[in-house]
Amino acid sequence: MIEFANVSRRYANGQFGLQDISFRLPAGRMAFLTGHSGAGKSTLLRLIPVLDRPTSGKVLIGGYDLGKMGRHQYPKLRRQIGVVFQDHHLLADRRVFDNVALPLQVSGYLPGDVRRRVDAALDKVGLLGRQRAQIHELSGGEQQRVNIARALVNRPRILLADEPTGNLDPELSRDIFDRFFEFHAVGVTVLIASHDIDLLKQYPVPRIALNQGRISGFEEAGT
Amino acid sequence: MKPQSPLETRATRGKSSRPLAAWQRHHQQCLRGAFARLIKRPVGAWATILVLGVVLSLPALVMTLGHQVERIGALWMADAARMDVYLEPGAGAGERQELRDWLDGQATVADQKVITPQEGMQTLAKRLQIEGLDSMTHSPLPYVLELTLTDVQLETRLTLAEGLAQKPAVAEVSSGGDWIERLEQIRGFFQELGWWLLALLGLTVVFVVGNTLRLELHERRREIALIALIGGTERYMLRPLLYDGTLTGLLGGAIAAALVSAALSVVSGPMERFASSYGAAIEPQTDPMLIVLLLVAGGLLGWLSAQVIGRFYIGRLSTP
Repeated sequence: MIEFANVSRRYANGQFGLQDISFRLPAGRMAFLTGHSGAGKSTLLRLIPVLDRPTSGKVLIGGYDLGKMGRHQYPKLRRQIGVVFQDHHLLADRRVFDNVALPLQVSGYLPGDVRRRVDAALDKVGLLGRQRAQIHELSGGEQQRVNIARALVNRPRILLADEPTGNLDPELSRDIFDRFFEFHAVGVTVLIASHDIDLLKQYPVPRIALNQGRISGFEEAGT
Repeated sequence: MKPQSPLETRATRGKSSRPLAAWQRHHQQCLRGAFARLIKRPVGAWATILVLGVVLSLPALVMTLGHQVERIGALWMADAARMDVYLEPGAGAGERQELRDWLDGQATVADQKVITPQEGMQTLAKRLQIEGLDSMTHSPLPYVLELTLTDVQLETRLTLAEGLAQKPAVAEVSSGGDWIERLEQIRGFFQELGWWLLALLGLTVVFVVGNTLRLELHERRREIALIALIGGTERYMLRPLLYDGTLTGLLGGAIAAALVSAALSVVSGPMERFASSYGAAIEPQTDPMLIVLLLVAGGLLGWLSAQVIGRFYIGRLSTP
């Protein structure tokens, strides 16, 4: 499903964000990306929904080379990928419902379908009944769950998360990871970047370790 | 069917079963949003609209002025369809008849009337209100041929005047060519100036609206980046901006039309008095076509600004 073949990303100042990255994550599988801040986790994740492009190598999604993809094809690809960021990326001037409904409205869903799907997504993250709440009325953990609901509402084939529990306490972090694990269990391909090794070790999921833009090791589930 | 995206399957393709309804709904949302932003940010939005109104009114005022010059000119032109030919005092009846025959053969002469020296004296006496002037036995005035021309083109007058100048019986021709030429030049100047101003100020409108929209885009950059991330197309992101730009331009055009009407109502008094001195009635009013032109120009320029600025910034925000 997700395949990186000798991928490098070099910036204009000559520094490498990623160097010679190769790995393959089959459809429906889950993996963690680990490494310190600046190791290249975010850079790697950004290449999947084509928010950035590699300077060399290939990124393949479903066997399709993203380098050969035209600009007009990005929206269709991105509608199939749910992305969860550390800093939420929520629209502060909209209600919870509007934030979660956004991917469906962009995809042209009818209002009745939007309502049903938003309710279902909010139910999954335990926020059913908070549709009308303003974003600033929510706690950090609730905001992150809204973020997850928005990433899932379109029923994506791939779910990416970049430090999704960075600001949360251990209990909430565990709750969030449990939900990711549930999505993986229903067939969603999940790739999560996190530096919280202690938390990651609690899940039977393989880990790809990054260091200074290179893969420094693969760790099998449960090690 | 070949999938259009690497992750698209038969199950995920065409989830929105009524794309036309969704498209229509988004247009309605964008239109409502454009009006809502006018209310939400009244100072910024209306300041731009007022600037547009003033900018668009300038070429419209110049064109209106040119149009009024044309109307005043038309009054003069009606008078200018006449040409007076003064004959030599010594010209005999035979020479006069020869000249009249020649004029009969000219296609540009519609009619000719002979004013004898006595008739001329009577007219002068009446105009000057001097008693006894018309009873003078010998009039010092020459024979005059009062010609009515078929058109008032400068070229017609000059050609006829040249032909008449070669006739020995003709002493002088009052062709009035100089002031017609000047009037033509003034009218042409206003028209040309109007179009130049429209082009230059049209460009100004694009920049003014473009700058307002750029600020709006800057404010909404997080939202645009997010919409791009969740699969919004460039057209989807551009649409609200197109409505904002077009609405701003249309309202700017309406303000410009109101300003031109107000300016015309100020000059209407002097113009009516001027026209009545020629025995004519002119009621200065805004040309409905000009109002349509201002609205269309405003709307189009606003739309164009949104296209240029929107495509540039949205492209930068949504693609690597």
